Amino acid sequence: MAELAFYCLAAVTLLSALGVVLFRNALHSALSLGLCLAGVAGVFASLSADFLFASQILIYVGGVAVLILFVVLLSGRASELRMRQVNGQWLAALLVCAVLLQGMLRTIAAYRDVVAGQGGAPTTQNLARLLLGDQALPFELISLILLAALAGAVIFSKPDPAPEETKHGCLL
Amino acid sequence: MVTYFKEIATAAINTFKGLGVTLRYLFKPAVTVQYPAEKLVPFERFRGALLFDAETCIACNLCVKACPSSCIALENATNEAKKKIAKVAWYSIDFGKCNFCRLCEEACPTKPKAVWHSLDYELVFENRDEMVRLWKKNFDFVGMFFDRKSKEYKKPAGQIPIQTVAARR
Amino acid sequence: MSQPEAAPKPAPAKPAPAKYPDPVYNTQNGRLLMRDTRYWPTDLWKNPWALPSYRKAAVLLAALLLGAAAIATGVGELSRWGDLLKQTLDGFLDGKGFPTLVGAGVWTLIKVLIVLHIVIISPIFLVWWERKISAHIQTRLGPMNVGGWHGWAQTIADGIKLLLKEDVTPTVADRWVHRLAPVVVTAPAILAFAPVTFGQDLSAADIDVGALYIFAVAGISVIGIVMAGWASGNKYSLLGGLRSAAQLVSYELPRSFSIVPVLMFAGSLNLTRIVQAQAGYWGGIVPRWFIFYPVVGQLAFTIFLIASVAETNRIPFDIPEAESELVGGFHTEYSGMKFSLFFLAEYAYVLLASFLAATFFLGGGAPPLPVLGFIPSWAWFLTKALAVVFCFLWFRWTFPRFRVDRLMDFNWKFLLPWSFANIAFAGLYLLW
Repeated sequence: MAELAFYCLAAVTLLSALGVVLFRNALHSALSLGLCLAGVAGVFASLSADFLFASQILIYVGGVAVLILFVVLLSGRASELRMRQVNGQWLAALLVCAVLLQGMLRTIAAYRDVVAGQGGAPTTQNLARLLLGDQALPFELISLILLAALAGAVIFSKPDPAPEETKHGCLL
Repeated sequence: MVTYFKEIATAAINTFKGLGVTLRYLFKPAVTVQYPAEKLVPFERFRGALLFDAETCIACNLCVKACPSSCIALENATNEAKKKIAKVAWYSIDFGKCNFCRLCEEACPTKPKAVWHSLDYELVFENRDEMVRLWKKNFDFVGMFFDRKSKEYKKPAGQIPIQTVAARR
Repeated sequence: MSQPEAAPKPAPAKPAPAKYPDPVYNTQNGRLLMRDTRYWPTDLWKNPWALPSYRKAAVLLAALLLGAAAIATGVGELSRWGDLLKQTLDGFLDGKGFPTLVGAGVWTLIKVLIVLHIVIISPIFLVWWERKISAHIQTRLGPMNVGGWHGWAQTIADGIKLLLKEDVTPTVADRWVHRLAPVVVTAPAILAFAPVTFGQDLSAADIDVGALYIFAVAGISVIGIVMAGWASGNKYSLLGGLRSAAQLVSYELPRSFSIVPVLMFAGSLNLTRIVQAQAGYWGGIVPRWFIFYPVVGQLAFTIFLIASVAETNRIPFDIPEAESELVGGFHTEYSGMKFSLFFLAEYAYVLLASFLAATFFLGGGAPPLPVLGFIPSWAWFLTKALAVVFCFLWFRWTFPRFRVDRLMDFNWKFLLPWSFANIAFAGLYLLW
């Protein structure tokens, strides 16, 4: 039963991931990305990582996918452009993918005998204890990095002040 | 700082005032008149459908001259000696042209008036022929219309008289 | 509508004035309304109890409430039999030799069907209630004819009409995206009802991260709205869809953050645990509901309510679907069944928001006074949730619409900072 759920979710995830790279229409691509991330959330749920499942949907599907959709729609022309999904460097890309695939297969082979247990225990409290207890320092560092990213985004998106404003000051 | 909280407080108080108004109106009785189960009877001088009394009319033609839309036509009756008498042979009003202005009622010299506005606002015409109403001797106040297809006088089916019981002017 | 006419004969003597025809009464109920139309109806409002229809309506309302309370008390006893039912089912299936999986599957199916029916049938009642309350706030009557008594079957008739409408898809639309958009909007609305606790021991899936799951799943609908806006193929829909998505994503933040003090006080994301943390009474009289916590509760409830109204695209936050602004917004080009799915999703979310408000802030299932404990918990839950739905309808006819930039301002510059401050206050409480 658990295997059936896992295979279905894996199929959904992989097929939508293929859709992300193979669809010519950028909007369809973005929607498949949303589906793929939801599939990953489903895999988390099947492994009883309930907090991760809810957070994955909340942040990735509800946040990141929506933002990507905004970018795709506001840039307008890209979704009408039927882009060829394969360009001139396909051979180099294929080689890189083959190398990465080989590395992944080796890693997976090392853990061949490990079966994911049906954990069952709710994870929220343990995660909270870890994040605010043992792993507090990485947690704070990550939030610092996010703060830096936010500040950078705000600064980069500010328009340059026009010359008249600097001349007259605030009372015009 | 204080201004900020004052503004929030003012906004909140006004919001609750608005909500209170809406809530009060929730409990007031509805003013809907559920037509056609309930009908309003108009005021006394309401200019509804015109009615005509062939017995009272003296065929003076004042209403014909007073009408601004020239929708009234009449013909004097003659007695056996072929002399005109003060009665109408027939009287017709074309409701397609009538603008319900009451000039004909004001011009009528008889007491009680021979042509007057009832309080009926539910005039319904189903075809053009019904719009021209005819009154002859012994027709009732509502009149009849001449159906060109069947070549006979018929009662208007659409008119639903709403009357009060007050005396006629 | 032709009435029998009274045609009088004129009197034979000339000076005797002829009688008017007799007044014609309506044959349905014999009513001819003699009301002076020259005055504004305020004189009618000075003493509404003088109207027989008003008295009859009040008696009907009281009878309705008492009847509902009686049915609730009677039928609510059935919830205690849930365990017995499950045991019987398991025993029956074991006896026939099926594995336990089938029993679990059948039980899950029953729970799914119950939740599905709640979500699909409640808009029928909610739409009727909305039309009636909106009408009475505007001193008119609302639906009166369909189905007899006060038009209770109006929504059913409207639903059938929507089903029979032609399903129009614009030629420039993206066909599959156009088809899938209502699904992506409605399916999460139904999924989100899984952990909601309808009373004591009455939730379909007692998930440990219940609150987070609900907010996460509700966020998936945003993608559906963007899809709908794009796939309709016209600029107004696209603008409406994008504005709506921006509004929804923005207002998700204060909504989630206003719940954090509740989670801090209850110590868990589990909805059952949150309801249990609100059991009991202070001094035997005042219930320990989170809305009664001195400053934190009221602030959190207000922010949650405002953010929920914005999340469900209702007035005063309905710029994305306002007729005068954007034709119809993202659901302009939808007709028939697809439009009714959008409609269903909106009412499902309104219901969800009121259920959540009742669970998080109003004690969800707990009676307000200890003496009223004989009324079953799900009846109390439903009463509180319907009171919050009434607030939604109340706001609709009280407030003008927000302009879209002021809407964003209100969220980012007022609601969000105050929800953070609320978390700080709650922290102060807990550390005191």
